[in-house]
Amino acid sequence: MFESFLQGFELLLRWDIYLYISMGLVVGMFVGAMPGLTTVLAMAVLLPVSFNLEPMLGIPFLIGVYKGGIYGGSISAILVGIPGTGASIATTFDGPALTRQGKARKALEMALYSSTIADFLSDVTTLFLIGLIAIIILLIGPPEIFAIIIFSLILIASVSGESGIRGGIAAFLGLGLGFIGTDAVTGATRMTFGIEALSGGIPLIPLIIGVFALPEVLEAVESRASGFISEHVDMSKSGEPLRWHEFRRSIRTILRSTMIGTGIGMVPGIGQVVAAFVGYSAAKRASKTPEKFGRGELDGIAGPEAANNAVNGPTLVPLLTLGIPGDNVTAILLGAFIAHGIRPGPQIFTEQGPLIYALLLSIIIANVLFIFLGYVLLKPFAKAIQLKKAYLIPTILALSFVGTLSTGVTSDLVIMVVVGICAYILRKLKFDLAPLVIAFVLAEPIEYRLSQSMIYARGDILEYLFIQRPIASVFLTAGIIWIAWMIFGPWIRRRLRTMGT
Amino acid sequence: MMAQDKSDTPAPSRLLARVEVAVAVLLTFGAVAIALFMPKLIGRGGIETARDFLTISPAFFPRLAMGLLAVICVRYAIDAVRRLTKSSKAHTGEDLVRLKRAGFMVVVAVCYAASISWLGFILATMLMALIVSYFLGLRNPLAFLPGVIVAPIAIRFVFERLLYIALPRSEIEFIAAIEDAVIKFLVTVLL
Repeated sequence: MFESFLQGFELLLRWDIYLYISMGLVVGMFVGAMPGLTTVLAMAVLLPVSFNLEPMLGIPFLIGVYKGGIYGGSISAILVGIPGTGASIATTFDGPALTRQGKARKALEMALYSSTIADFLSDVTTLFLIGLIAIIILLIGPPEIFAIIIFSLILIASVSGESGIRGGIAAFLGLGLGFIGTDAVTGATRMTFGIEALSGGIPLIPLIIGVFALPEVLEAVESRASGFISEHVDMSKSGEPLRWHEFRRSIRTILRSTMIGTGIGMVPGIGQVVAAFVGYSAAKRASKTPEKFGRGELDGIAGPEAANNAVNGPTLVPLLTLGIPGDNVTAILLGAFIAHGIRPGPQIFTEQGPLIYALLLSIIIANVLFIFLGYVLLKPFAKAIQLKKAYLIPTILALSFVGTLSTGVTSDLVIMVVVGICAYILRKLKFDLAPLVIAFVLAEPIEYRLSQSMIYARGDILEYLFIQRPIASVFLTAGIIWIAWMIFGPWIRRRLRTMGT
Repeated sequence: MMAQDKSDTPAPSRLLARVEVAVAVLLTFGAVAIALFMPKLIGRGGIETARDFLTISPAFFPRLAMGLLAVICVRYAIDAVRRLTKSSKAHTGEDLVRLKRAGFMVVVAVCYAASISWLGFILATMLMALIVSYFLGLRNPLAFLPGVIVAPIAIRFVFERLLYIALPRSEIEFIAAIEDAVIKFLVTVLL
């Protein structure tokens, strides 16, 4: 493993890697800063760009978009109180108050430094843990992996959006779409309804663009996309830069939030939004002056920003070791890995160790570029949020089509548009579609691992999974308990409340 | 943070509540139908012996997933009907206007998809951008026309010449020749 690690270093001795990471960071920060445009949209639209680059360029480029986007979201959150991404909602509690006090620059710099430091530390943790986790996972078999995937899917579906039921429907729809095409086990075609174009299954790129990009365009058009913000941003009154003594006071908060974000990132389905809120409330609880929170406290910026960025690296742990994308961003990254012929899973470190280590190291290096670019481009992006959204919508739509056309199959446009319209309707009905995409990519591994488990079982699969395989049993039982809690939890709580009164 | 189902979450308007009921019913019937007729949806081909060797058939997992989807959809449909009965007409007009705008954009997207191989990427994108910009309220040609003209050419140049992704060339030779000439000019100047 150490040899792979050193070989990974060698792969990084190229200037173009840093150029593509920087481009990704700039695009990500720009999109993230625009309220109403999301990092996921940018990644979905730019995913095909990465396919035509080498893995060592394309994947770091997308990761740059991801990292930049999460930080970019905090720019508008601090300056005008409108979060550019969901991950920066908690930043709006103190950001606008600091801006009103003439401390916008301090807040923006605190967001930048806490984001990059937390991201760096969590990436280093990921780098050292991921190989060990992969070795442990290599020791377990298909029944355990099947159980872990099922448990993760239940978790992802249940924590997504407003409703567990909607999350469940999205996940099953994703599975249904994933089953279309050729059965991986027997080779028979199924659910193609006689459409030749579907015999190879629904392609991932049109699905991702249809689910994540087209609905955003339609939603922007709904509101006529008049502008990202109506407020005027005057960066000449942004105040003094952040001083060392001010930053030093927040170091504890940053480290605490880094640990929170790192832990949350490793669990599929939870993500940056939750991490940011937990980071904020932990900072408030630990503060000697909690009453200042919400009125313009720098710790109120450092807490959520460090936590939401610390999630970035660890989300790669379930993705690379088990092939389980924890959220929509990692689902897109999984698409990029697959397109480059890299199938994430326990074997990835033995099969493509140097490349994976090089990618992980490039993510760490991205943080160094991030701190530099973030500092230099802070003012231009602060200005850019006043841009009219209407100027960008046609370009986004065109890029969505170009992305789909990059597959070389014109019929994929039909799939993208149909998926996009359906996704838009579901989003109007408050469906979170991350479980749909995640279940779509997991459909084949689930079925394949179950088939393998059934061969091993030689008879009663339930007895085999629940009695003979204790690890699988733990995960499946936990999944069942989780579902039961979702169904009966509200009723139990109501009963307890009634008994209490 | 576990997201419990909020069955009594108020629907934004009666219109959306109706759409929700329609979607719930459609999903329920779709899932039931696929679960019931799944064996008929399995095509010929593949390794027949594998089907005997394994106890799992190609229909098994899709059938299980669709069956479970149907069960959840029934519950969702019940909730949707409940929400419909509680919905108000308050925002119906506003939602209708929003849906009409999105509907217009869907028409634009479909036309764009249909015309892209006929008109070629650059011209189809210019037309789409012009219509969308006008629809979104941009009225000053000096402000949006440069973007409408430059963006499609820039996208084609970047994707074809730098990323090696071929974009559709117009079927009309006259238009295709102009597109090629523009790209050749850019190649001469920039590369």
